[in-house]
Amino acid sequence: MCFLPRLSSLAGVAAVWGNVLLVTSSLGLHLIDTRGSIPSSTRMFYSWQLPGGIVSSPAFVAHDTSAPKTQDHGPAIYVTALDQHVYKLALKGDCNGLLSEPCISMTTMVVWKTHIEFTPESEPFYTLQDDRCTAPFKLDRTVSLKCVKCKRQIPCDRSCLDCEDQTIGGYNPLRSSPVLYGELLYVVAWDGLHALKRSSGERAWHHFIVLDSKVEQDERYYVGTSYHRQRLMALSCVVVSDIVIFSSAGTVVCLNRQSGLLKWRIRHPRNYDYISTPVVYRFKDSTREVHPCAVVWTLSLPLSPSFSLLHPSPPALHTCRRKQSSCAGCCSS
Amino acid sequence: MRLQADAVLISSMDGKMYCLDLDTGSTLWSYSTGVENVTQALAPIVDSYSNIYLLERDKLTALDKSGSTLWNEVWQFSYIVHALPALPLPRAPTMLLYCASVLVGR
Repeated sequence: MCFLPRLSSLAGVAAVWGNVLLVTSSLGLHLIDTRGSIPSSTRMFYSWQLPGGIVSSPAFVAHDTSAPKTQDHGPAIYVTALDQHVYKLALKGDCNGLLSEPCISMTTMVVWKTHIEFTPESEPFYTLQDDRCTAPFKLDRTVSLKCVKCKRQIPCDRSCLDCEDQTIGGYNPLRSSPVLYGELLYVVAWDGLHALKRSSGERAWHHFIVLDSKVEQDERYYVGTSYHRQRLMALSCVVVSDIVIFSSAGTVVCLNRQSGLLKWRIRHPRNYDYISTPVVYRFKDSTREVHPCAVVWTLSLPLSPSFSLLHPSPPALHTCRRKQSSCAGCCSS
Repeated sequence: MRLQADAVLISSMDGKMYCLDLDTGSTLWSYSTGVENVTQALAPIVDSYSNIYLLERDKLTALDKSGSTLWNEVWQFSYIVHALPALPLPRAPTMLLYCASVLVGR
């Protein structure tokens, strides 16, 4: 059943919060009433605009226990945005997700936002080649990903100086959906995995993707420039017990989720890319705890060049393997 | 082959879904869709009976925990529809909980 109101560029769908579906788009965050009897005109009952838009499915908690005791422990939302920031948003108002009463005073507050820096040691120097602008782009190591994307469809012989915006059009190196587990928020970016403190947004640790060979480095140069690579950058991680697993092109990496220390790392046996978010397969008698809001599905579509300008990120879905009392409202089943 | 440990399932551009040992990363088995140079894939989903569901554009395939095919079925929807499944039922998976068209956002 398809009933989402018309949005300009759908970016992601979150878990259901009571009767409310959280949707993100290039405009921002939207709350949608999922009850069957609601007229289409009023189904999307609240929107909050974020300049530049949101590019991920949100990680959602109905009761934010990481907030100070003096503050409201209401719903919190974590998203990645086109401005290369990770945001923690707090929903305020009289809506409890069940919609037993009309929500008339909803507001969204930015609790924190963290700029994802691509530190020089991860890759000190890049030369990127745009799909349309074939002149190589030289990136300043201190400015991370400047001039990755030309804002306009300029002739291919123009230089980086003609690029006005580094993110519009989808060449954003931060596109994956964040995954929340315990006190850390995990975000996959093109240079590796970033773990942020849930309460403050400070970086707890960062695991860089190690490039073993010249071939890998050459491959890395093209991250962010091809639509295939763009799709790869939308893949998220999965957290299980004490480990976090993510893929980066042809490598799967397993880390200690608290420290970021490497547990294992494997290359694809035939050097192909891994193209889905990893899923952990549990057995019934397993003692491992799978985070109930880990990303289970991520869907990527073949986007045309013109369409990419309108649709910065393929959508991803957070769903849950089981419902837990601590996760009330965030599970979709 | 029967799995003895928890595992990681991940799809690859060579058209295969790999089952990796969660503790070591070593490959336990792989399932081939028969199509190489695949550029997009949905992450597989697993039900409470340890069955694995793999959606390849318009085809849904069910595998057991050893990677053997249980059944597959061609579905009547286009890949342009974002099928966002909830937990599938063991024998009759409900694949569409919410869906949205990329182009029109409906």
